Amino acid sequence: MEKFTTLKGIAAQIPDDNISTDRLLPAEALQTLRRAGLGKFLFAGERLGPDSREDPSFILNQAAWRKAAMLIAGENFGTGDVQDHLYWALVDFGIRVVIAPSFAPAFDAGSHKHGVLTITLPAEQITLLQQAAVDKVLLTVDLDRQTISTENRQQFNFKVDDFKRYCLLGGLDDIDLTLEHEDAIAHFEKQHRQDYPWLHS
Amino acid sequence: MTTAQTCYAKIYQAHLVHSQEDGQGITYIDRHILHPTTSAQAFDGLRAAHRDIRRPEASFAPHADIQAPNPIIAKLQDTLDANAHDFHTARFDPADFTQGFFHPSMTIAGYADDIATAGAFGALGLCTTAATAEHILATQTILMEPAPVLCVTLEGRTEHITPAGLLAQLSAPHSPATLAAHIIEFHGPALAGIDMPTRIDIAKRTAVYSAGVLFPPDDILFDYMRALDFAPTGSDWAIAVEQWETFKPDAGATGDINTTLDIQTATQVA
Repeated sequence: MEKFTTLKGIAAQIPDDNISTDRLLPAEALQTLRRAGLGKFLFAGERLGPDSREDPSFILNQAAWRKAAMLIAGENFGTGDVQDHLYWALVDFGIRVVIAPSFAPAFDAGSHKHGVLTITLPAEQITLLQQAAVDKVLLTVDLDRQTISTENRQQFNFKVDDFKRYCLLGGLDDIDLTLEHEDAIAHFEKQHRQDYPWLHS
Repeated sequence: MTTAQTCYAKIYQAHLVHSQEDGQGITYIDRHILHPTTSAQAFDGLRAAHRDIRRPEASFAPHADIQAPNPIIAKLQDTLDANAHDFHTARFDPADFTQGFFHPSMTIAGYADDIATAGAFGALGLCTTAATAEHILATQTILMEPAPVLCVTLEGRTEHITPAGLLAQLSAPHSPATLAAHIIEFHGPALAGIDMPTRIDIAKRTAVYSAGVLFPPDDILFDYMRALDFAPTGSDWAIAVEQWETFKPDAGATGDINTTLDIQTATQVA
């Protein structure tokens, strides 16, 4: 997984509360074979019309935000059933940071394992960042220092759980974390082979 | 003080590699059955991270000679076939499933339908998603917390047992949510009268409702297995049976929920 240290980019703001996982990614996207290319399904219900043409009124279709690297949303972002595909789609689209006043717990819990940074900030700071997003102000997220700074020299401090920060900074997913116990696995395997020889014959 | 353990607890303990602070255990997987719908993205993930399969000989892909009912499934099967070839996994004939693929006390991960009958063989079947399949391929382990166990003690006469009747009896006092959250482990004197085909049928039906089903290893299972081509042979057989015996639940072992079912009553429901 790609390490997350700093990210510089434009943010798109979709200020709605309760943006659901169904809204983020329609069910048809779950049937794809591949991981790469899932970005085209992100917000597909709103981004694309029934004829699969882009709706120009949707923010992620507008020139300034087509390559948005961050999303600023309302309360309880990511509510609903959470599949890995959601994070794959966000990252594939180019969005690695979601900033919101609160997140649905399941979405929040899985995010760092897929390289997505969720930042929780108080509503009044969100309002300031939303204005920055509308004004197309370049934002820099520094995970090590836990700051968001604007090119207008505004700065916001955030706090991320130490373990999540460790995973994101190191680009560590569940497999990397398990492989930190490689010695224990190898030792177990050797003993297991002795105890259950028929399983290995 | 040691407490009496269920078969499930013994299998979990026997496969626990490392217990994490968050309560999750890094749990060893003896066999992994790959499935077309969950494996494509798992292999994608391995490629993206330049990872290899830890134990290709313990990862089984079905031979792709099954007649695909539609082009999408055909494409999924072809993809798995190509991945199995590229990553050198073991292959198996899907017809072998009930012919000795599952051994008592083993952990076996796979698609729900493929592992549904593992519990009839005293094996612990674990459902995979694309993400867990990738984790198993790379580490031969899965991250899991021990599941709560619903112990069902079977009593009564078994001449006319029907799996549907048993299941109806089981779901009467327990909500679907309760069954879904628990491993159902069968205990009790009536087990001695339930043959393997019936157990397989019960496991298949019950797996649809629960997190898993477990018939602890016993003589009926051993007698059934002895005749199978895939059973351990020679001195391995005696060692195996001795090991499997240790996975029987301890006397007085209880689950998180405990129910007694009278088989004769159960059959009347059918």
